[in-house]
Amino acid sequence: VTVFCLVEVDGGGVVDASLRALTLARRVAAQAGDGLADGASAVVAAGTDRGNEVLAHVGAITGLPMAANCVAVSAGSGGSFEIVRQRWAGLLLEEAVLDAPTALLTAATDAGTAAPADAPGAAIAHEVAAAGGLAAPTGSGRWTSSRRSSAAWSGSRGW
Amino acid sequence: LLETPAGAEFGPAATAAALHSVAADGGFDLVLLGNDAVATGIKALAVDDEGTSAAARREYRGVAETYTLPLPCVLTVREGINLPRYPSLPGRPRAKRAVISRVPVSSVAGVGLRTTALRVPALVSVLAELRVLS
Repeated sequence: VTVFCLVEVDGGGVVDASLRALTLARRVAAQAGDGLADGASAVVAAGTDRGNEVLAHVGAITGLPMAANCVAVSAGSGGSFEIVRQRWAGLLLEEAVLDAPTALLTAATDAGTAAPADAPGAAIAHEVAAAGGLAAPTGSGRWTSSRRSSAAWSGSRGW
Repeated sequence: LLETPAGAEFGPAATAAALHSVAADGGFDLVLLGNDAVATGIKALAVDDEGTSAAARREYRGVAETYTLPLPCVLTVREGINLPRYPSLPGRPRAKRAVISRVPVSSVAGVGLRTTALRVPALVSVLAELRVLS
């Protein structure tokens, strides 16, 4: 299983929500051989405003379904993904089946803890150029604080 | 107004498919949604005089971002973007006579994400029992 993870960086470090997303991504990758179709892939991001929006755009562009605020992902039958995700700000848990060649998932920001891998994986860095798109920011300015954020893509096969 | 069958449960994916089934036919320049979906909401919005583009502003991590989007476009808005404007007393009869386009939505095509169960987390159940949440 090939998993792509969107990692958000803030203040020179990876935000905690992205570390949790990486942990979920590693668990999804570990599903290889447990029923997921060979070549199945997933894109995982943190369930932050940015992560949810980015994957919503990816879903709209590609036509793929997306599941936000996941707390667990496992292999289903026929190459599908069985997910558990938060609804109503965590007041409900939804169990669902995601049928897609590439699963678009965001990890709930307050579910589970970030856990380091037993051994460092071979992460692959992808250099990408800003493509603009339909809604590229035309300007920015200070609102209430000086913090700025950026995002980085990284991917790995079998974290 | 999208009318769903009485008692029908439409989750986010099914709701999105229902909206797409109507909006994809065109005729809409602007689709506005609440923020409790999957996108960051905007806090200010303006459409240009020609009606060809919209300018939107939003906040993310303390930084104000401004966007110019060609129409048609989809935007989500935050609570508090404005104050709800209720019909005035003389405007209420006119509001009652306003024609509302109704589109029945009986079923939606499979969108790849289907709900199999909904349950209450154990902690929420305990809090409800203790009447912390009510």
